[in-house]
Amino acid sequence: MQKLVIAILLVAATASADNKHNQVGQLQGTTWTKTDKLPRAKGRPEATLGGAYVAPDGTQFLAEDRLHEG
Amino acid sequence: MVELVGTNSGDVYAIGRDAIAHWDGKTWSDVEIPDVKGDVFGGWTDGKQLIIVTNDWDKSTSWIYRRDEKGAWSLDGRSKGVLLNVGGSSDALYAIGNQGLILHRIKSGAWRDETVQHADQYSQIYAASVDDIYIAGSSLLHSRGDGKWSDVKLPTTESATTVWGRSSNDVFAGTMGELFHFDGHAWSKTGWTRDVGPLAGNAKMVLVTNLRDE
Repeated sequence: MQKLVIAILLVAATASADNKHNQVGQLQGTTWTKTDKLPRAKGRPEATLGGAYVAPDGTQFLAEDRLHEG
Repeated sequence: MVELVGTNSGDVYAIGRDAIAHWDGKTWSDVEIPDVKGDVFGGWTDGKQLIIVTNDWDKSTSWIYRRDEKGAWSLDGRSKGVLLNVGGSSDALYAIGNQGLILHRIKSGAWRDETVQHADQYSQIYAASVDDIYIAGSSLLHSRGDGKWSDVKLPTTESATTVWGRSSNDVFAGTMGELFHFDGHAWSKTGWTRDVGPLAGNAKMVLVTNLRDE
């Protein structure tokens, strides 16, 4: 069973993630599966995805860049 | 920018500008960073050691630090210029950055300068083997591990911003609009027609992320 782990670190940046959504695609063989909605805690805004790692057992890790004025 | 590197689902590092966290399969914990110079920009691990690059952008100076199995940090290298990432494999480890800056780790504490003479920026590394290495950023370069780097032409006019792979005949390169695959003979389109952000995968899947406008 696949699991998803979200890591969040504070990162200074000057950009804004307003009006954008992350999209994640999985390619297995020649078949794409695309996901627009990622799990997140209630009230936590979406931020830029800054990192990805897939473990040999299929566990997926995505890291968000928590953007703020810096 | 946060980078994720790891060796399995119980050994993953999240690396940010001034913080590093480690996932042991159950919880995230802070990794103590010593009094390093500059901001952390990238890292690599083989499960035994963690190597990070830091830089002082304004002073155009970078440092490479190594954390051993016992958690002790040491300075492994330094460079004029801005390093943005380190990666590859234990026997083909490279640190790369702005202005074509490329360093190849020859042995512990010794990095060979393989900088290419142009203004491109590099931040992503994939080493299929000691004699089959790719780096990407504002273009895609390939090396046979001999210190020489050559341009790789993709079937697009867009620049390759990222690269990842599983073997010499299974390499992926992303641009700001498409993802391409190399089968050992030629590059071809994969069907992904959006920006390619962080790119990862394992033996069964490739994971692509992007940002899209609403």
